[in-house]
Amino acid sequence: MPSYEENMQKVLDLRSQVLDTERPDPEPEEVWEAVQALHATRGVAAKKKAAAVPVIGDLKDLFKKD
Amino acid sequence: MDLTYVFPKAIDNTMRTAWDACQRKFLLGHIYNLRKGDPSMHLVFGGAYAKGLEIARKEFYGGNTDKANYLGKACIAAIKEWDLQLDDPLLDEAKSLPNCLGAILYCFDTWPMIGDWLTPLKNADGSPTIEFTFAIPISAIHPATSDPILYTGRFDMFADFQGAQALEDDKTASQLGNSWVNGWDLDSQITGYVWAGQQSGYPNLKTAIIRGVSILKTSFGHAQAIQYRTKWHISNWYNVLHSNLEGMLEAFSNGPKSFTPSYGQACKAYGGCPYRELCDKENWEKWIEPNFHHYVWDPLAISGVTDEQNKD
Repeated sequence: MPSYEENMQKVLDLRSQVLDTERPDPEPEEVWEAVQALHATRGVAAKKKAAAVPVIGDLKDLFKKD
Repeated sequence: MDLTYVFPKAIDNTMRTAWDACQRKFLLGHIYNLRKGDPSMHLVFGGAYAKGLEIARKEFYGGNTDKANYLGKACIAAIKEWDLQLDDPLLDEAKSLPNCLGAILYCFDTWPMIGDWLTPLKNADGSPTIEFTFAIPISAIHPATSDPILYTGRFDMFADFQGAQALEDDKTASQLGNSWVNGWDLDSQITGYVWAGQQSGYPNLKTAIIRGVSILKTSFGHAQAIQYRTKWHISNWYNVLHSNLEGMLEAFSNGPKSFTPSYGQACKAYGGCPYRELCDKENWEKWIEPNFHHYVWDPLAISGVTDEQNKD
């Protein structure tokens, strides 16, 4: 399953295609699918980011004397 | 920069509330038509969001019931609308273009058009009553042309609401809750919409439905406000509008220095007034360039934000 970042890149690539006057617009179904996929992974990416932030308790442990 | 001192031909709720908050803000924003920097992120986001909803509804109520197709078309329209205003799709982490597209899908997941209890009415040509713009003459007279000044605006849909007529308008916000829902009580924008609807062939219109989607960095939320306006509300609003216009016209006839600054809440509301740095100078006219440029506020442009400036 593609990651949030990959899904974001896909949406931005489709945006570039929409704005490129030399190319036809992407199929609407492809755009819908990409936006759906991006937002299905948005919460997952946020949880990962939150989990990577050390909490105060962890920081205290760094300075704990043995 | 040459400042052109011209009274606007049309007034909308944004302009009236600017006057109400601070006369200097009205002078700078709507008579001198000065704007600072890029367009407001909130307006760009709201405009693209509203465009997407408009296209989805026109497709669906025009007979296209393929969800992936009409929502994909809505997203393509929103991308194009965004690009008209701003190059960068990721300038703001929450109010980004990808989040705007997600919010369009979220809106129709929350209130699917199939089975929705709010459905558009039909125009005389059979098309659905989606995107309603109005420009209605009121009894104030323009100082230069002697024509009636117009009261203008736009909302998203005239709808059937359980057998009654209602107007529907979509908003985006950063927070939704009781204060958002209750905040529409007495709101002058909504009262003006109901009045405009009554003047435009819907004399029994009393109800407004406001559907809000909140845009956070990692999630969306939603809320809905159902508002009613009585004859008294509308009559009172109309009197206030005219009283405000009398004040605007009097200040205009007395010259730019008669537009007094608020020096109060308006200076700090919604993250700070964009004209605050000018008001902080003894001779503010000399400080307009290079920070401000000339633009004309378009009262009929689409924008789905809660407030005209920054309230998100």
